[in-house]
Parts: sequence; structure tokens; C-alpha cells
Amino acid sequence: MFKNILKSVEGTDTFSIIAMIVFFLFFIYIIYRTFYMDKKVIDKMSHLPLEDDAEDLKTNKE
Amino acid sequence: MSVERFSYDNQSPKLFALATIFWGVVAMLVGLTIAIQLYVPALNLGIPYTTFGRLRPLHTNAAIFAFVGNAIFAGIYYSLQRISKARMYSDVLSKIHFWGWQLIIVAAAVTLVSGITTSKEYAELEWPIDIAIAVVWVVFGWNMIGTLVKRREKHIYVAAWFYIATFVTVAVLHIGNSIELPVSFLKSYPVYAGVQDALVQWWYGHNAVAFFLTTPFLGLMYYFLPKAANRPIFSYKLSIVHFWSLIFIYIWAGPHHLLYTALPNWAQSLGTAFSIMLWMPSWGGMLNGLLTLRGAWDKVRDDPVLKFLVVSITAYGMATFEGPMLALKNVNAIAHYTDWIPAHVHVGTLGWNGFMTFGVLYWMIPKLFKTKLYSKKLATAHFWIGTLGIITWVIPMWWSGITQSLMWKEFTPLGLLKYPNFLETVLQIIPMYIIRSVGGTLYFVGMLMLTYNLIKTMKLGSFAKNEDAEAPALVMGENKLRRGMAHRWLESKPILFTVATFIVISIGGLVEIVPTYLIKSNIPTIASVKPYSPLELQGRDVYISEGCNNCHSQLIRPFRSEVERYGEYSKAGEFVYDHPFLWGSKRTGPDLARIGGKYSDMWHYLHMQNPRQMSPGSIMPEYPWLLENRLDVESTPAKISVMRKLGVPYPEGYEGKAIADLNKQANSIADALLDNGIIVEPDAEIIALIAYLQRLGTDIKTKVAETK
Ligand code: HEC
Repeated sequence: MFKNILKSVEGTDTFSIIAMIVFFLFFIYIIYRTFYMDKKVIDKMSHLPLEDDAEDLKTNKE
Repeated sequence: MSVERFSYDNQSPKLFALATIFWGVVAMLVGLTIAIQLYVPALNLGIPYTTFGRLRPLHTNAAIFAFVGNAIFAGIYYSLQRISKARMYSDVLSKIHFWGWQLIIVAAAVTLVSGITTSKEYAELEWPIDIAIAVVWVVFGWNMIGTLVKRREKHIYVAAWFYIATFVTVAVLHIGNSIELPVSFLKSYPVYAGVQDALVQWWYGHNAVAFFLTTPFLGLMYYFLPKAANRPIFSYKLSIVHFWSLIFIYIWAGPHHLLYTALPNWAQSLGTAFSIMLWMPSWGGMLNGLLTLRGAWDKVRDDPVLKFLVVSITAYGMATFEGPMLALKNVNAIAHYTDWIPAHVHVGTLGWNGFMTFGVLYWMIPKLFKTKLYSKKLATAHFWIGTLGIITWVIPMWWSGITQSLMWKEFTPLGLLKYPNFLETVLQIIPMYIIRSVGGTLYFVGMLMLTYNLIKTMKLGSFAKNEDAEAPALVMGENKLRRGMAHRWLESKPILFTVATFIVISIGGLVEIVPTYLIKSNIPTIASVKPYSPLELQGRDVYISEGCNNCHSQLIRPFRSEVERYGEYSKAGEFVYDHPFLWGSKRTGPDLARIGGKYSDMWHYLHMQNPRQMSPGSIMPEYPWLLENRLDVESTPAKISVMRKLGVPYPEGYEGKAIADLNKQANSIADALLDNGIIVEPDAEIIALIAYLQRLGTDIKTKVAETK
């Protein structure tokens, strides 16, 4: 689909298609990395905002 | 493990929060004013400073950069310190950032109402202010990245990623779109012209929505939603994918603002394709937010903060569904230039940005003042009146947008326009404008309730500028050598990350913009298109200064209904000397691309004096001062010279003759008016404006006449 879209651009198609390929490769890489991320790290990260300060713990317990 | 003691800077988030409230009230009040002006033109007050064309940019700038901007900073200064377990990098930078930003807002307000504007939407400010924005923005980024570098927390929480992306991209956008050549201290022309200028502008405009109104708020969502619900985000993995896909795709979608325009087709298709792809990451983010609350909906029932956040995130989902839909060519054909677009925008600003801001303020102010919210009931009431306000704002505008668009396009069986008089389609939707302003009033009342509630809360509590905290120093591993290396890597991570973001957003931007640069054939030149005469150029600047482009488009799309109504559709080659382009984005009044020669000079004179003299019932403001104000003729040579530098083919040395030419053309127009019994000085602004209007679109008409 994108090839057709980009084909209409004379002289710019190679440029755009390369950019697009780079984009998809990078994206796949991100998804791959994310998928295999350490579960502990994920857990730690997602709890990060919740462990701010003593103040919060107090109010949260109420 | 050594525990370090330090303190959080609570002063900066507090100051930014106060500024948010103050500017929020101002922005909404101005918005309400212009909403009412659309059915009570007398509210333009007959003076330049308060006309629609000038207040509309004031409203958008105040809402985006003052209200939302300060809210972003308040949220970032609060959350960034806490997820980094570190004080802001520099108190001095924080101060410069805060006061610099407020000063810019004041300068913006003063210049905009004075008619000092570049006319480019959401980038109306003139070059000295542009420079100030760039400086203050860099101060903000420096302060933020500095904080991340000296953080005590090994990991960088996802909210900070969104903050960094915001910083980097807005910097690139702002600088890219503000490249202009000064004519004088408060006047400049952009280096781009016509189609190119439009493309750059909407690459900016679209991504300002993405990276000023979306990414920072997603960052806030990823911090404040878990805080307020006291549970972690639904899926941290999803938030990572969300981040990268969003910043990657967003940057490509700008051209969807220019469908069916004289923009080359490939760029339009690119814009549409990416807009549709954008739907996925946006909804990924929304679902991540809403699913965080799974099993905790009972909390939402009695916590106004969560209520605001939930509706905010839902509004985000709605706006990001509507957005890609509007980017479909056939939907866009109906919606563009109509009230549907402000409706779409206000789901975003009132719902997503506004409600998120309210939620954050109701949560953060009690925290900063070590107390409870003064009145939960009042906050809940604010929630309901605000929600009602949004609905009452948006629905009538959807309705009026579609109604008016269909009227513009309707033909009689004989093949003539059913509503050839544009004004008739305006009068039809006036009731919708009235209802919309009721919606705005409700929302504004809610804002006042928030102000009262939070002031009371602040009085109740006690504020300390510094909040003590402690955290273990950032240490990695046992091995000393390895520790050193790891440490360096972690410290440099925010900077690497900044660079990575920069690269990602640049690719999309370059693909969009570079081709129009390199390939001249993208913009076929038309031999009969000539530069503006000095008087017309001056008239064009009057048009810009009065902000006529806020109500009038200058771009006829290639539809039968538009060609019938306005004349031959617009060609890219017609705009090659337009620094800046003036296509506009909203047709509150008719398109003016081919207004030249449609009416007599006298008609324009009387129409500008008071539109209702010529078009009974018109909602256009009156411009009586244009008949009196004297044109700054002396500025002409400088303008010609800057234009030539930008590539407009005025002959060498034309500066010397420009004023004489200007006077000659002005005198002939004034004389002709005198023949009709109208006495007007040839150097009145109206003369220049008339010259400009009469020129519009005629280059091509002449050509057609010649070939016949
Ligand atoms: C609040 C929105 C608004 C603003 C601002 C505005 N106009 Fe208008 N204009 C209208 C409307 C509505 C009409 C149609 C009714 C009429 O003829 O007055 C119109 C009509 C016109 C027409 C006649 C078009 C035609 O084809 O009949 C011209 C010319 C015009 N405007 C010029 C201007 C100029 C120049 C400015 C800036 C100095 C300006 N307008 C500012 C709303 C606006």
C-alpha cells in the first residue's frame, strides 16, 4: 500500500521507502526488546511512582 | 548503602499551578468572548484590540501555551523530582523558566491584541518573542535533563520519556517553523512561501498538538493516575510500545490538515496513511490508562480526582478516534473549514487537557499544602458541570459543522447552488453558536469553582518551599571498575535518549518536508503569477494584522460546489510569492482566494466600514479604524528588500521606486472612490486593503482571459 502511495513521488520514493523500512525495523526491535524485558525490572518500574515518599504511604493507608 | 538526604523543590510546582489557574481563567474568558462575538458582532466593540480576528489567536495561545503549558510544567516539576528521587537540577534555572514563561505570555497577549502577528496558527508570535521562547524552552530542557542525570533512581520511569520527547520535539518544531527574516523589530516574513510554508506550518501545527498537548499529558497520566488510584499502571510494557509508536507515527501525519489543497498528492496520502496508523498507539495508551482502574471503579465513584482523570482519558480516546477519521479524504471533504474541527479540538482541550489538569491540580495542591481538599463536594460538582459544559459545547458544533457543509454543497435540480449566498448558511447555524456559548459558560463556571476550592485549600494547609526526602545514593554492582562504567552509562542515558528521540522525530519530518524543497517540479510555476505591488503587499499586511485569516480561507478546493461558488480551484503555483501563506483553516466567512474583481472598491469600503451595510445580518466585525489609520508607507522599501532576499523577483533597486508606485496606485483608488462620493485619504489603510483584495486570485483570471 505504502509503495503505491510513495510511488507517486518522483525521485523521493527511495528516500521515503528507506525511511519507512528503518522505521519498521526499529519498531520491531523495540517490541522485541520490550517483550523480553526482565519481569522484575518491569515490576520495579511500574511501582516507581508509588514509592515516592513517606507522606504518601501515610495518606494511602487511611 | 549510604542514604542521602535532600529536599524536593515544591515552590516551582506551586508557582506553575497558580499560573495555570490564573491563565486558565483568562483563556476561557477570552474564548467565551469570541464565542459570543459570533452572534453578537457588537461585542467586537468597534475597536481594533478586541475584534475576533485578534482575540481568536489570543484565546488559542492562552489556552495552549499559558493554561496547558503551565499545567505541564507544574506536573513535570512535581513528578520528575519524585520519580528521579532528586531535587530539580538548578533552582536558578527553575526560576528563569517560570518567570521567563510568564513574561512571554504577557508579551504574547500585548502583541496579539495590537495586531502584531505572523498569522501562522499557534505560532503567531513575532520573532523577538520566538527567540525568547527558544531560550526559555532550552532552560526548561536543561533543567529537566540535568535532574535526570543526577537522579538517585536507577531506572527512568516512562513518564520522563514523554517529558523528554516533548522537550526535544517542541524545540525542533518551534525553530523549524519560526525561520523568518525580520523586516523591523516586530515584523518579519517567513522564509518559506505558499505550499512549502503551509506544509511546514502544519507539520508544526499538527505536532504541536502531538507534542505539546499529548505527549506531556501522557507523561502526567502515567504518573498521576497510578498516584491517584494508588496502583501501578496496567501494563508497563504497553507503555513502552505506546511511547515509541506514538512519537514515530505522529510526526508524519501533518499533511492531513491540507487535504484537497494545492499540496502535492503524495504528501496528502502520506498524511492520511499515518493518521490512520496513529489510531492504534493512541488507543493503546487510552486502554492502558483505563485498565489501570480495573477492579477499582468503586474508588472512581467517590473520588473527584479519578473522575476527572477517567473522563480525560476517555476524551483522549474519542479525539484520537475522531482524528484519523477526519483524515480520511471523504470525511475531510465535509468537515474541513467547518465547526466540526473546533468541535474535535475542544474534545481534546476541554476534555483531555482540561480535565487532566483539573484532576492533577485537585490531587497536587492538597499534597503541596499538606492538607485535604477543601471541598470534595464542590470538586464533584465541578466535574459534573464541566462534563455538561463539554457536551453542550461539542454537540452543537458537530451539528453546525455538518449542516453548514451540506448547505455549501447542495445543488438545485437545475445544477445551481441551492444557497449561493454564503451568509444564508451562516444564519442557519447561529442557534448552534448560542448553545455552544452556553456550554462554554458552564465550563467556565466550573473553572471558577476550582479556583475557589483550591484557594480555600491553600488557606487551610501550610506550605513549605522545600520538602525533605531521603533516598539511597545511586550505586551499581560490587566491582568498582564495572560500577564506574555502568554509572557513566546510566548518567548519559537521558542524553542518549534525548538524541534517540531527536533522530526518530527527524526522520518523519524530513521525509515530509525535504522533497518539496529539493524538487521544484512539485510546485509548477505559473507564468502569469506576479509579485504583489507595494500597495498590495502593504494591504496584505493589514489583512494579517487584523487576523482576517481567522475567518476567511484563501484556498478553493477542487470540488464542483466550491468552483461554482468561488471560481477556479487554487493551484500551487499561485502562492509562490506568499510569505506567509494565508490559506486559513476555518470558513466563518466565505473564501477570498478569488475575491478580486468580484465587487467594486466602493463595496469593499462600505463593507469594511460596517459589513451589515452591504450584507444585512452579517457576523463579520466592523473595521471603521481602517478608514482613518494611516499606512506606514515608510516601511515599504524594507519590506520589498526582505521579500527579494526571500526570492520574490522584485528588480534590483526597486526599493527606491516602491513608494512612488505605491502612491500612484493608492491615488488612483482614492480618486475612483471620490468619484463615488467617498472622501478618503490615499494613505489610509483601507486603500491598501482594497488593493490587496482586488488583486486576490486575478493572476489566473487574467490568464484565462488572455488565452480566450
Ligand atoms: C468573525 C469572522 C470574520 C472576520 C474576522 C472577518 N470576516 Fe469577512 N466575512 C465574514 C462573514 C460571515 C462574511 C459573509 C457576510 C458578509 O458579506 O459580510 C464575510 C464577508 C467578507 C467579504 C465578502 C466576501 C464575498 O465573497 O461576499 C470580504 C471581502 C471580507 N469578508 C473581507 C474581510 C477582511 C478583509 C477581514 C479582515 C479585515 C475580514 N473579512 C474579517 C466573517 C469575518
